Amino acid sequence: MVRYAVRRLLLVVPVVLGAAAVAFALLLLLPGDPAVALLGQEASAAELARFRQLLGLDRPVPIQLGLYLWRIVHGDFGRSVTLSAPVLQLILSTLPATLELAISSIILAIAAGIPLGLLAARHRGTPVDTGTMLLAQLGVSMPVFWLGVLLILLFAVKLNWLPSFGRGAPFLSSVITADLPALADSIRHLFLPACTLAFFNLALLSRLTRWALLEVLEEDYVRTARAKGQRERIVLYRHALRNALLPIVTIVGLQFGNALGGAVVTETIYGWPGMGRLVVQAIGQRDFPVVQGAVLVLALIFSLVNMVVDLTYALIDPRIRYE
Amino acid sequence: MIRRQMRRTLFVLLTAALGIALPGWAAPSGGTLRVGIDVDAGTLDPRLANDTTARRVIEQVYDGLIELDPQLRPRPALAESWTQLTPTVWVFKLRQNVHFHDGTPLTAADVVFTYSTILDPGLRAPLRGLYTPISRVEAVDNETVRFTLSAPYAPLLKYADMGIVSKAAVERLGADYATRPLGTGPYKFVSWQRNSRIVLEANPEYWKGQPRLSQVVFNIIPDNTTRSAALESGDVDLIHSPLSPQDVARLRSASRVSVTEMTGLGITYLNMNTVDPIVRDVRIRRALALLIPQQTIVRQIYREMDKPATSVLLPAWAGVFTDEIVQPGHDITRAKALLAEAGWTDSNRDGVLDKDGQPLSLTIRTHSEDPNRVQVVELLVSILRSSGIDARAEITEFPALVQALLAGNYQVALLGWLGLVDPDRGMYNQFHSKGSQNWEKYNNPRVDALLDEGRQKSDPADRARSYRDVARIIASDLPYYVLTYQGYIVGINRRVQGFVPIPNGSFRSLWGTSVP
Amino acid sequence: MRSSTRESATSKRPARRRHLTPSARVGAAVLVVIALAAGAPWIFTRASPDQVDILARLAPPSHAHPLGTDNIGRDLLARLVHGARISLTVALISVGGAVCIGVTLGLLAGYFGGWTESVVMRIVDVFLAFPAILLALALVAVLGAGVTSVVTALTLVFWTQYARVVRATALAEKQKVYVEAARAIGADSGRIVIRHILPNILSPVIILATLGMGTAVVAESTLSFLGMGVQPPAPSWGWTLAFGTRYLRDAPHIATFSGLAIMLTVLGFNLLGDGVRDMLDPRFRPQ
Repeated sequence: MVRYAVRRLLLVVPVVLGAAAVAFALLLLLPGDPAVALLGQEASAAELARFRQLLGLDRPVPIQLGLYLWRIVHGDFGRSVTLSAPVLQLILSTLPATLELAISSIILAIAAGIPLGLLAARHRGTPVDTGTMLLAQLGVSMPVFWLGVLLILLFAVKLNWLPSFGRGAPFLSSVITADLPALADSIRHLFLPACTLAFFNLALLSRLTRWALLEVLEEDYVRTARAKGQRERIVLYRHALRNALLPIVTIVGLQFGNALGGAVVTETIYGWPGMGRLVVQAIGQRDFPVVQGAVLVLALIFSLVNMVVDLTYALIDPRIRYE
Repeated sequence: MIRRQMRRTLFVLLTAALGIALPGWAAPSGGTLRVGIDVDAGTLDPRLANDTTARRVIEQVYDGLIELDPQLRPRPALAESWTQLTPTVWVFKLRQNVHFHDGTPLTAADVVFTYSTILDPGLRAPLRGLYTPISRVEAVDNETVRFTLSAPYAPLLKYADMGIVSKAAVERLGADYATRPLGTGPYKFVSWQRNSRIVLEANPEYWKGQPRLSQVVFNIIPDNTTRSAALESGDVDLIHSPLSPQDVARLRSASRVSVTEMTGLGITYLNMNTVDPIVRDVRIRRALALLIPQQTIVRQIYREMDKPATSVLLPAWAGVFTDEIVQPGHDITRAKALLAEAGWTDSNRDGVLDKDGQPLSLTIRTHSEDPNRVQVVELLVSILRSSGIDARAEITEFPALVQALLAGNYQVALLGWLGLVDPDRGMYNQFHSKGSQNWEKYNNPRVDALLDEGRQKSDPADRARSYRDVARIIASDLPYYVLTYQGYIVGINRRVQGFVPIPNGSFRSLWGTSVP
Repeated sequence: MRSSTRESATSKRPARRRHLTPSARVGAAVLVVIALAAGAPWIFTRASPDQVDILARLAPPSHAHPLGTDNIGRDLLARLVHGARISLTVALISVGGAVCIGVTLGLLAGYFGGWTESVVMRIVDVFLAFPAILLALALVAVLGAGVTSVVTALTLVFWTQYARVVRATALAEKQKVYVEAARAIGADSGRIVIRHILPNILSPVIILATLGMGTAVVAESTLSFLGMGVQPPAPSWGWTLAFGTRYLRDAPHIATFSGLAIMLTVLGFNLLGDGVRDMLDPRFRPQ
């Protein structure tokens, strides 16, 4: 296990370097002068010249990449063109909001998706099963932004139960300080965006849970077709669930990716002040240092999460070997 | 055992969750005003601010030498009094016992520092062009500042509302000053959560007296409809233009909201590139103007939130505006005749006018952030196409549009101006051949002379005459076709008292505003 | 529903279906309708998607306009019907491109192994390190909004899953006896790949591609919704939905119907994809 863990950890390094290279390459793909893109339209000729030298824009590409990586490692992600602040500071100030949204949506998806899949598997063939799977199919097909818009229309506009924009108090801090009004405020603002983001993963997870359970059950179920009683069936289901955990755990990594990607749209619709909205606005403002930095940081987080998932997977199933 | 703990936690969470069902939890408790605004500020340094939100926040944190009243007349702020010694020398006497929020006293040195740095090209202050006639700023003594101009400059006083920064703080904080503003204004800066909110609190030592509000929170809500909904539901107390017309209609009938509408200081206009091979022909520009159904657009798309424009003169410019100077109206027959006169005919019968083998192609650009402008452009493209012009829309984000304008890489663009407090502000940089915002490269020596006159003459009647002459020429040459005069609309919760709207969007009256 | 359990007990795998399930048939039917809308819009409406009627803007569904009008009075049904072509074309080209790149690289990696495989798989890992929408967004931001950028971006985002699957299959096939035999005789690699390996990768690729079309439609709509996709006045579904959300209170029909169009198309591809999987390779699960 330790050997696998070390190997897996080492794998993160080239992937992250590669991701950094892709983030760097984004700048090369830009039409026009990259110095102008990074400094902004109003930069003077002298500043542009100095910046070009700093970035080594006149040197061969591999050296530029090296300089870029060097700066990244030292925490220098550049300065935002439109928001008068270092990119790293902007990213760090918006990251908690995105994590709050992404993590709460995954928890919601797991808390609702697995029981639903379980339900469908237990009652396979019945209308409960068909109904649940139909819902799940809809959920997987529904675009995130449409769902968000519909939820806003219903809960914020027609019923006026919940706010349609912004973030309330930070969830964790209000839980820790047991500040009930702040907690209520936090949940009021978090509820709709988290549900919107969770829906796709929820549907996916319920389908997967049902499938995984049935896979296991089908084999054993046949053997114990003439089951001797209720207790054996419960043991059976528990055993099946444990085996079904493997594919479910794998999916969590995928879900995190879905959540991060979906957060981009959800944050825009709900005005949630996270990294997703920062990136979208930066793209609209042609603020490339922010786009580059945000893309890299999100890739980093995603890689780390995948690594943790892989390690957990290996923990559960010792047969895993990395090819 | 564990299950019992879980049950308890569940209970706590449920109780907290009940808070969800209680609407208006966020109802404010005495003294906090929540404002809804559309964009996040770029910087909170008054010398570098370039967006409306930055200006609204800066107005609270800083004072200028003067401030503008609802009729746009300057009245004393940090400057207690001023005199014009000669046509090119102004002396301002500063108010005594004014302190920055960190306790340090305001002195003439701060004023000199503010204006000198703005004039310094190295700072790249976006409004530098408004202050270039100032050749020298100096402190006569601790409380007196003298401005020496290179030529008489009538609008100087109107532009003297620039926030005065603390020299010591700028030198100490450097670039960080943009995110940690320090001024003398009625409200102190507390915090800034990017893309979310900016929080200010009252300055008890304010020279006018303690503000009635204890806190002002600016909530950043980019979508117009969401912002209006927030006002309606009581999540914010104050919003103002830009607003969507359909939301304004609803706000007018909302019971807890009071809506004030007045003529604004902005225009929406078509910028026509006078260097472009097709658009450089004035007959094409006139034909374009004649094809635009201005009244229909204002009525249908803007729902009379804005008013149809007659010329580049704004109704708010009292004494200068006259509705006798008019741009070409809506006349399709005349438009077609003009196009024919200019040599454009459909020689190959493909439905598109052409000349010398080239089709009459026109691309109209605008920016995607303003849905009304997008609709206007789509409508115009449709109308032009039915008149035989091969028209296309090109809709990009605002920065891309600005880039195209700066590079001269456009034919026609629909955009706007805001905050035109003075005819000089609305015409000099736009139409003077040396103007910094003359993207359409309009070059007319007569207009240049008239604009310089307007800047230097001090008698209002003389200035009015000059600017009217300019407007007459522009209405004929059409480097700009002004589509609408923007209205300025304020939506405010009825329980808020003491707020006085000012047409340039200023929130200076928040000092005297209160919330029960 | 799966086939009989008796077969599962003996073969330990669900048997392949011979026909499409009812739900897959529904999916196929929906797709036929959408494809008709894309290819022959006149069947559904004679109205033009560009005909502006400013005085009739934001009208709810009526006899003259079955789905109502949009914000400058264009017939919504016409806009949605013509929008189908955009969505389907973009999806088709993106998935097609992704399949080409992914299959090629996957085959190279799987069959030749060694250094080629390591390089290709590392590249796949790097691309997979980015959340999909984010990468697409960044690429479109850099390349500039518009159809070409969208297709390029989506192709670059989607190719990795095909590469992975094809490589795995190629690896498995490579070790089979008949391939060893062919090599022993001296048959050249290209022939082996085409004759023996390629037919076996068809199933997973077809399944992935069918499901992938749905994902591509959503991705294109998402990009348009954020203003980074196909530009107006082209009647892209995502753009119509984006505009519709501004008029949610006065004219909810715009957002509702355009979102419905997207969802139905995706649903069609998902249902069909599930059915295809049941027919070709029921154990297959896309990673």
